[in-house]
Amino acid sequence: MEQQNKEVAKKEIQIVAFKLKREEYGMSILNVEEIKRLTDITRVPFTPPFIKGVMNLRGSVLPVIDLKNRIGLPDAEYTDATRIIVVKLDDITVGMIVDAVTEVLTIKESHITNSKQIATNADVHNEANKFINGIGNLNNRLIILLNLDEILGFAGENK
Amino acid sequence: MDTNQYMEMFLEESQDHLQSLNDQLLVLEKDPGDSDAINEIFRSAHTLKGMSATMGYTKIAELTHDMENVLDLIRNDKLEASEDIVDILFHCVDALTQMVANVSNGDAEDASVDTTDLVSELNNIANGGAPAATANTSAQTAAPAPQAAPASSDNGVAPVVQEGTIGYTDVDIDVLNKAKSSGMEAMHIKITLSETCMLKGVRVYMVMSALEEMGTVVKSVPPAEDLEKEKFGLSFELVFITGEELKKIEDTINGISEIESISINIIDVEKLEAGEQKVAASSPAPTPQPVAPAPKPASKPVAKKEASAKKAASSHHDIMKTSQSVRVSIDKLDALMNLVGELVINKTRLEQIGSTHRISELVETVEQMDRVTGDLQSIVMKVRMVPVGQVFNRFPRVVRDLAKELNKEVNLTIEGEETELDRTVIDEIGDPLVHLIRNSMDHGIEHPDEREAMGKPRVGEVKLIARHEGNNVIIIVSDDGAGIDTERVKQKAVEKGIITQEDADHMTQAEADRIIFLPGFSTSDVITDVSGRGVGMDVVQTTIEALGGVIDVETKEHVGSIFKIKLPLTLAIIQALLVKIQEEIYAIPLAAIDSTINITLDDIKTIQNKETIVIRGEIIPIVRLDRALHLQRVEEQNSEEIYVVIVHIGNKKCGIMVDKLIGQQEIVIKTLGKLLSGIKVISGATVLGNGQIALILDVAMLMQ
Repeated sequence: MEQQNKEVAKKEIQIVAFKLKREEYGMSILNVEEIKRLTDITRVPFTPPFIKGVMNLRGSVLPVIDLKNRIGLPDAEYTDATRIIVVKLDDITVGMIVDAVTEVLTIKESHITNSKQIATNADVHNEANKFINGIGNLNNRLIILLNLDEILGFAGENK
Repeated sequence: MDTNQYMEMFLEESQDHLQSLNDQLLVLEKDPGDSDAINEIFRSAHTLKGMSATMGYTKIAELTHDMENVLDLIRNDKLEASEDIVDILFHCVDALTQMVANVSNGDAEDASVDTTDLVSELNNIANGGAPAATANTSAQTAAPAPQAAPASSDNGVAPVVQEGTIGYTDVDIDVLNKAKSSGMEAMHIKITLSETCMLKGVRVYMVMSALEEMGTVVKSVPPAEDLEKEKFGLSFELVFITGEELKKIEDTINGISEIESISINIIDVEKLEAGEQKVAASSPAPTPQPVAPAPKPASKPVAKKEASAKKAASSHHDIMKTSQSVRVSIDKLDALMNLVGELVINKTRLEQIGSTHRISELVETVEQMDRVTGDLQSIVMKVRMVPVGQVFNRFPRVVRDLAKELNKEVNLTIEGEETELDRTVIDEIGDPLVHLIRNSMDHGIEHPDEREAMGKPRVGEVKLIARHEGNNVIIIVSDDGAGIDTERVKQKAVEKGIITQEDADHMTQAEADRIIFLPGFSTSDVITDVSGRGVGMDVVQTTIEALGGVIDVETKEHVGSIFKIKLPLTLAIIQALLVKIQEEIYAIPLAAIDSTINITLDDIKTIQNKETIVIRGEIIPIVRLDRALHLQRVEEQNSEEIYVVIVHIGNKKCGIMVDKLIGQQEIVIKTLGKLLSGIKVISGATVLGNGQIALILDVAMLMQ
């Protein structure tokens, strides 16, 4: 993470911004493969509740997780705005259900507060904190940057 | 000569010859008088020598050359293929195998292999000494023998025959011989450059490249590096193998400027050999031979010619074979397989569109497409198939070595090695089979004396059989040994805490037989190198199940054991029954399905708190799939009819209760990916014609 943050320090980064409930989140555009509308999802037994199942992405089988569930936010009904962001991290490709995708943003490092500083901030829950890399401030618009390593950290653990 | 392009061919052919050496040595060991076997061995060693020398692997060439010396004696009945000698030859083959492996790994050929001992032992034998291993008493007298006859026991370089100024080694003569027997002519070319020539290196290069177009330059004096660096006077000599006319070569070279003169002579290979013989024969033996006279070299040239003629014939044969096939990387085949899979999915989709919208023209077209995709699929499948013999052929050697190690007498019978299996299965099946065979020999087959006492033949029988059975391939490993002592197995399992005493008491015979497949189980009191480390049969079972196969054991005390492995022909596309549970569709591999039945709730009986049904007098436990998968029941099932799919794994049967049967379909298996790995009851997923995903049930896991 240190290294990633340093890279961030040097330049601007582009993020895909999306909504979970009323909060705005973001992840690096380099990890985003594509954005899909919600389609049929087949449930898979013996998986954690945040794994919604698998979907068909042009003939291949793509696991789908509900991002809200994963980071500990309460459930909500899926709507017309609900999207699946196809995320690729190393050799794992996964679909993440979000409430809405807003836009692609460019954000300066100087406008990002990293997660260590937030850790001292009493407003943020400790449990959810590990999923967060930092918070970007874009003209008072707060965007929570997610730590994908941690979100996908369960890979292969479930038996 | 650039040898890189021949590397792959060299490695592949070497493997073939090493395999044949192993096979034929086994034959020879059983019947020391088998002249076919010894001829075959000689031929393989000889070819190996020629190839490795051409490729510049002198260590391999040397060792094979020394082997040839010994083999030659055996072939001419001057030496008996005793056990010790065969042993040493086996060690040589091992060393060669290692060296070839080194070459293929890009290491130095002799990395981690020391052939010195082998070479000296071979020389010792060739000179009439007994093998060192048994020559304790005669060691003193036999020891000087290797030095005594340096001429006949050279390392492939010693007897140098002169013609002109070029010296021919044994290996060179072989190459020339080979060329001759395949209708090529060997020529000795002497070229003198004009005195005014400024760039000798360039002229040499031009001559060489002109010649390489017409044939092969085998040798040059001075050596090629010196020629390139212009380290020679005005003339140089070449040995050239070609199918072209002498005149044409002369004209071609004359066409190059700054050449003063050339002279070309056809080399008489037989004369060369005679020359070699002379050198060998005239070389006096400085010390008397204490044990046996050195072999008479007179028979050598004849033998050699015969061998090379045969070799030439066999290499022609090889060319015939290779010209009819193309080597394709497995990746490409996998990609092709995937594409065919996609095509099958789309075809199914079209079929559905055609039937829902009742478009008869589309239905007709799709029917034709169905045939084409069907053919395409079966061809792609066949392309990926390889005969199981590729795995089996290593076992004779394994069995032989093990039998020696364990002091047992074992005869291995292999049947059905031509049975074909998917490439991926072949790659995986080797280790489990080795394990089963080791087990059979270590735990199964008794010591010869014990066997005799029990009225069995001294020699134990281990059988390895492969055959087709429907859409499966069956591989059987059987032995006529002691069988599995079920009581002892139970007792051991209880001791190790794998099962409880109560379990053991209530077990059926079939269940008890399967104890050996439980993790952590081993009956062997002594942990040997061979088997009994307790990481055995469960690993075998896991590997086979991972391949979609099943392993079963039948055993009878004092009669023997039979391990039966059932494997699917392919792993990529299977026939499956689609069933519906609540919202989801699941696929059950057809191979595991016995039948499907309709029952009513009243048919379900409870025995010891387990739901069962009775079909044709057979009591079958029932699994409610929704409960087994921990799915939340949306609504309690109230319909009168219940569908049950009867599945079987080995002898165990089980009924799976589902909401609805959808139908049989061909499905393409896809993995769930890393993120969802480790879900035991699901072995994969497939994309249905409508784009929906169905999970594939792992029946074996479900039943546990």
